[in-house]
Amino acid sequence: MRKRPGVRAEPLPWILPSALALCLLIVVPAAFLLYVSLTGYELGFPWADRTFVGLGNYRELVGGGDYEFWVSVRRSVAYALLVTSGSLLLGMAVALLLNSTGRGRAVVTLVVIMPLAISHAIGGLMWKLMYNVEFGILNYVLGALFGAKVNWLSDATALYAVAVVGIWMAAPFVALFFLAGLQSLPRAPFEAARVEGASAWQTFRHLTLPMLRPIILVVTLFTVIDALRSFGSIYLLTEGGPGVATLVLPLYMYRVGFGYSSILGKGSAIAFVLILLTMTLAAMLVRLMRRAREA
Amino acid sequence: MRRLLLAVARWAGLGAVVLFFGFPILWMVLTSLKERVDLYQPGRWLFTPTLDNYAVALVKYGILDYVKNSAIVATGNTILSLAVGVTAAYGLSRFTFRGREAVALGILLARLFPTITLVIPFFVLAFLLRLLDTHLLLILIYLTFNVPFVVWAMRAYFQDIPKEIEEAALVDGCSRLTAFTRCILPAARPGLFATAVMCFILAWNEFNYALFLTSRVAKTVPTAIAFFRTERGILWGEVSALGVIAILPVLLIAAFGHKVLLRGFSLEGSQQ
Repeated sequence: MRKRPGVRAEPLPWILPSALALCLLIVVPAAFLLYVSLTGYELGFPWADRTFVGLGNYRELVGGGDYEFWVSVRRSVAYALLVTSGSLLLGMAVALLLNSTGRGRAVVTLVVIMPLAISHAIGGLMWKLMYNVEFGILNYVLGALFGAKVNWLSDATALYAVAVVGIWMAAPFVALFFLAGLQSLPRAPFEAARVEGASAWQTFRHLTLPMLRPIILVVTLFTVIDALRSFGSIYLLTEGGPGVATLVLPLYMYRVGFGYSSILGKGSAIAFVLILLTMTLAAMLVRLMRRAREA
Repeated sequence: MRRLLLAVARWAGLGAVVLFFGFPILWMVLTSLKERVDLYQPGRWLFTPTLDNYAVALVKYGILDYVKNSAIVATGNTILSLAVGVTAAYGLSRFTFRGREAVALGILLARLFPTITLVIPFFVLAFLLRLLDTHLLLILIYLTFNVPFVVWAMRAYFQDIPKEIEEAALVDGCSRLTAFTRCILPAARPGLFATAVMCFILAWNEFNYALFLTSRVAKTVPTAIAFFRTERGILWGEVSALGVIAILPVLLIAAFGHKVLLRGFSLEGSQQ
């Protein structure tokens, strides 16, 4: 930007309130969290009585002394993979469908974005109603069609059931993103493909997908990060259970820190592992976005 | 023939999409209007609707107080988030300075931060500062996700407003601040409004912090779900009524101003 005479750009006061607020509310608490994770502090005991244990909590988690930690890492990865792959496929399908729809598009779009505007906890509640074994609508339909009932939130299927809810909440975001991407694509190559007589699948495979590649990468990372930090819907549906069936990292943190025990020290260590994991992915995302902008 | 098939397939697809995303909401609304007898008959579509569940939820469980809490927290936080975030968005969109990219990066990382992890430090700090279970605590803490949202959304919006608008005012001798409040903010009104609506929805819906950091005085609507778990099981009718109350603002916005909702979500998607 050229500097004009008489106009001195003073960005600091404009930026400062936000920077200060985010420092105080994210960086400082995160640093405090790191400190708590180095102690053996338990809820209900005087703060002064905490013991400093160094990396003890982390050693316990990673070193195999805690079988549930690695279970929860596996659950988190599985949940994130299910939600991400599911909502990318569904989101792409919805975006393509909406993109080729004229009349009625606004209405359908409005319905599609509703899950985004609903609290994750309330979304979990809605699905819990439908998953109910005795009088849920899913088992009613299943019973009418096949005469069978499924215990959706049981050990064998709970993770998938919870992931479907995750997809329900994440796919609309993916769809909106892809829809914007589809609408920003240049027309000419598609006209050419049609003249050449390419099939719809060929056009999608060799034109649309490659052109959307940067957006797909960004959306993927976004969805993975969001899936790794989701808590509300799973808490409502299963509280991480039955047993450890849906015990993703945030739920494990909750159990150790507030639920089954109140060992905040160890809970903080789990939380910090989650921060490291998501922020590593976020750094990758930022890199991708910057490259996409420069390209 | 082929075209007809394609059209049928498309409408079937759209129907399936509407069913998957919309039906859970419809089902909760229906459940909230059912008497207990009808609750256990999921196949009975024709039933006499009742508002009993709402009466029980609002009167017996005092949900109105939690609606009030949610409204106070969401409104207070929206105002604060806009005040703090909009200026930063303007600064980032209009000035070039060293470290601008770093600031923008920090804001983006804040947006991706797993805020659920901060429940523990906030719990301990709020306990030590005697701020647990207060409106003020939630109003402040919700800045963690709403300020990054405001900055990101409004920055994109400001970038689309031509610089000539305030440059004319600056040449006329206005200060930067006057140019901002007199020229830029009015020009950005649609974006500001959509952003405010989104902030309100995000704060209204927040669950994680409220679950751990409030207990009675400042409890918000989504966290009241816990009340409807009794020894005899979950009170489905009543808890569905609570769920409908919780999504009522969103339903109203969708019914009367869906353009704002669409614009808000496209702002949220403006990460590029």
